[in-house]
Amino acid sequence: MKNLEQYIKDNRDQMELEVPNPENWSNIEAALNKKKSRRLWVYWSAAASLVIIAGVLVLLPNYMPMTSSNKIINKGSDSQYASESLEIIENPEQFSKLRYVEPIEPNNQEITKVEKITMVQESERESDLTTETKIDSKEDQLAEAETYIALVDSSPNFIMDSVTVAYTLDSRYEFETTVGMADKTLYGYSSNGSYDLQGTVDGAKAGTWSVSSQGIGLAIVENESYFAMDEKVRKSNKGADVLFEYDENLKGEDYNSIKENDFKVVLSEPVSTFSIDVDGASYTNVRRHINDGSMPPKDAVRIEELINYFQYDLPEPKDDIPFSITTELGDCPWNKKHKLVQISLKGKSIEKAQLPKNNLVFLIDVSGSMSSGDKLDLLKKGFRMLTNELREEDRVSIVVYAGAAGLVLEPTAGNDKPKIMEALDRLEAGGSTAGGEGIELAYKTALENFSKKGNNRIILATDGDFNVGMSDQDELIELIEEKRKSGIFLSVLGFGTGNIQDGTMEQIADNGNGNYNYIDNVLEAKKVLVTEMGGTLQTIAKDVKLQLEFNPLVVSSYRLIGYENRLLAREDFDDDTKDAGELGSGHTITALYELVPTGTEGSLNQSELKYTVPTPTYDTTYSNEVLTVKFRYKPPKEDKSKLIQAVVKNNPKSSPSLNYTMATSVAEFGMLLRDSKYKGESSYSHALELANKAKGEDKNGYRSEYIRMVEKAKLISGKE
Amino acid sequence: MQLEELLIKQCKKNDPKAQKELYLRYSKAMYNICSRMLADQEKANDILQEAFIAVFSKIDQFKGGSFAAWIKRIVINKCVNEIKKNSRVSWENIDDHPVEEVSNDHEEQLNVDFAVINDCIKQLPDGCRMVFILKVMEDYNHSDISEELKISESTSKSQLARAKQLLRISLSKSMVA
Repeated sequence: MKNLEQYIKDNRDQMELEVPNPENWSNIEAALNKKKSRRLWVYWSAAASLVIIAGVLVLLPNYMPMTSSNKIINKGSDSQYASESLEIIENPEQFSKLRYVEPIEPNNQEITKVEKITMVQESERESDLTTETKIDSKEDQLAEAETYIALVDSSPNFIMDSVTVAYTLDSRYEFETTVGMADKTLYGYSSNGSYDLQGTVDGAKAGTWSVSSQGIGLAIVENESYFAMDEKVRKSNKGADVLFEYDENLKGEDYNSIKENDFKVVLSEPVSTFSIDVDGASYTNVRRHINDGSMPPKDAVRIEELINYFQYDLPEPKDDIPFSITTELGDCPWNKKHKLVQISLKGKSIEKAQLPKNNLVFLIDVSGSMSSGDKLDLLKKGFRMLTNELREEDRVSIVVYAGAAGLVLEPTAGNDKPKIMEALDRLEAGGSTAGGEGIELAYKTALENFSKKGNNRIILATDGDFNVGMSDQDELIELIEEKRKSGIFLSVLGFGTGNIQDGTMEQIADNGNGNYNYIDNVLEAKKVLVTEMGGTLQTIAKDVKLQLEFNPLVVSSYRLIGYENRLLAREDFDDDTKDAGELGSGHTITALYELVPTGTEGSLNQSELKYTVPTPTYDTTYSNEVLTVKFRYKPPKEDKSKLIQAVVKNNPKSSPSLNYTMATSVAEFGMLLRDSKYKGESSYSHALELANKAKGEDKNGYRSEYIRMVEKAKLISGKE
Repeated sequence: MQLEELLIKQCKKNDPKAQKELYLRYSKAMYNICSRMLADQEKANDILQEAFIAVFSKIDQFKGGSFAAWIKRIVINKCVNEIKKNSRVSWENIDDHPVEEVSNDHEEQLNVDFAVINDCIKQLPDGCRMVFILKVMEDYNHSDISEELKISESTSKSQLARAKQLLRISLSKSMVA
């Protein structure tokens, strides 16, 4: 008797032999839809004081089958670093399919007006959703409100589905907004009496804002320039006095605030997209602060720029691809449970003799602020060194700007060095800056001497203080974006100390298809203008974007280290009109992702998409793949992108390469400087240990200098 | 389990995709419970639907622990209510039914076709079938069963014994046949 019972018990899994009627689900769905009206929607459309934000639901690309004609190259590469397989996607204009997770069908492709806000009141006593009565009473209060404030987040990467606003009441309100509302996202609101409302605005133009106001109210306003940095009090168009408390510490040197990338759950965000970044400006700036005996401001530390300051030993590209791709999977030095994956690109090296003709316009800031200290002198020295490298076929013009912009050197042949030098020597500082006018003139000059096959580039040298004329950052960027189409690239060189408008300069370079470097001494001028000239000035691929798709079987969550201001929306990857970074000849680009392996305890902790949940019928045939990385780039003179992809297998290297060791040391150091919440067990000593291991030959002494800087930072900070 | 937590969280937000995913994950196992408990395919499908509608409507009340156990309780409740609604379950004492003597010949070779076992379970009378399924297949103990079916523990025990006897009889019959 016991046997029978035990036998059934042991085999009950195998006794599930029947299958339910397939129609059951549609019946359940229909019944659930009827019940749905229980949700607590607050409709606002009638309120006269409201302006409705138009938002767009996340539009997922149309998934089309990939053609089978994709070419596999680099298989069994002789380089120990190169990716195992590299695939050229023959029809890059087609949106490619997700590899590991079944794509979700877009549930709504129409542009939708957001007309409702869900208010969820979270009380300390009960965790359930609030009752309707509570909402009603809140609604009554809101109806009487006289003042309205809204903070609008303009970050293009904002894909949260809810915004939590905390303030000094014992409850908090959460606004659920539409996913992927692009650049118009509700952020906050005012509260009664003297309650302070505060929060951090993702991607806002400066630091952290706090807001206080009178009255009860809530409104959504359109994304206008409510975040102008230079005013303390702004009036919203709804008549409310909004006090923006400006962080005085940020005055002077102005850094765009960086909100560190968080871990993303692979199942809700399987894909991570960003643009490459070749700037090394942050490194130099950090070094200046540390050499001066102070720790750099957190927001001056852009980890990807620190990492990319160094050259890495990477293979030359093969076949038709303008860059090589190298990946490496290894342990995470600051968190034993995690892994890191390094992805590196190296642009094809072009010998200088083969370089196309240069059509260069030096756009030089000679405003009053440039006269202080070393700025203009350093600038002149740097350009003299660059001039020495020029050839007969190259053309140089010089445009200066201050009170007014002017052409001080007509286009001149590269071998007429005395003439160029003389013009440089004559430069004097004085007047205030009309940067906008100068940029206009520089583009005009560059265009007049445009060389079809050549390298047409404006090199803007400034301390970035655009304070006359087109002083609005957005306006300036608009101009540069427009000029970009002409095929002229813009490099920005930041000079001097104490007056750096770092954010402005980086944005200018980014929007002008260029790069930004910060120059604080002659050696740096040489590094940027001479040693790297071949790279910086010769673009071999433009609009280079990376999109990684993580395999949920292997990775449960991931975090991109750095690149905070280079994140792209998922759909931007396939959108050729979306600008991205440039890769120069011989340049190396490295990105690190911190990975939480699937099965790691306590790893799920982030927000997820509201409207789309991946169907987790992932394919186990890929169980040995960590991720697939896709690259899009355009040849410098083309408008249509090419697509290639590589797969990272789950085979960690037995001993990490020097490249990996160096990059992880710099990342660790950067996280310490930023006081990252993910710094884990990072320490200066450990970063030093790694750097010493990775020093290698160090021909130019950059790594030794880095080691000295980390030692110094360790002393200044007084930490291990 | 991470994915499941995520799905439940989404279901709490009435996300239709997550609901469907959860349904797909559990529908087969739950249907088999329904089918066995109710011994009627059509009813089993109906009750399965009802149960899942209840699951998604009440999902806010799920506060952690085993989701599978939670969902199973709802399904079993629905099944028990359905059976009680439609027929008066007789909880006769086992002694009222003399049981045939059965030889133990087959006990050593119990590799019976599972479909046959399922069929035999479904042929059991409502009362002892429920007790048998809950006790043997769903890991309820007698006190759980007594609560669920509103019977005494001793009734539960005697019904289980009867179910096993009846099952052995019908199994040996079907094997002989």
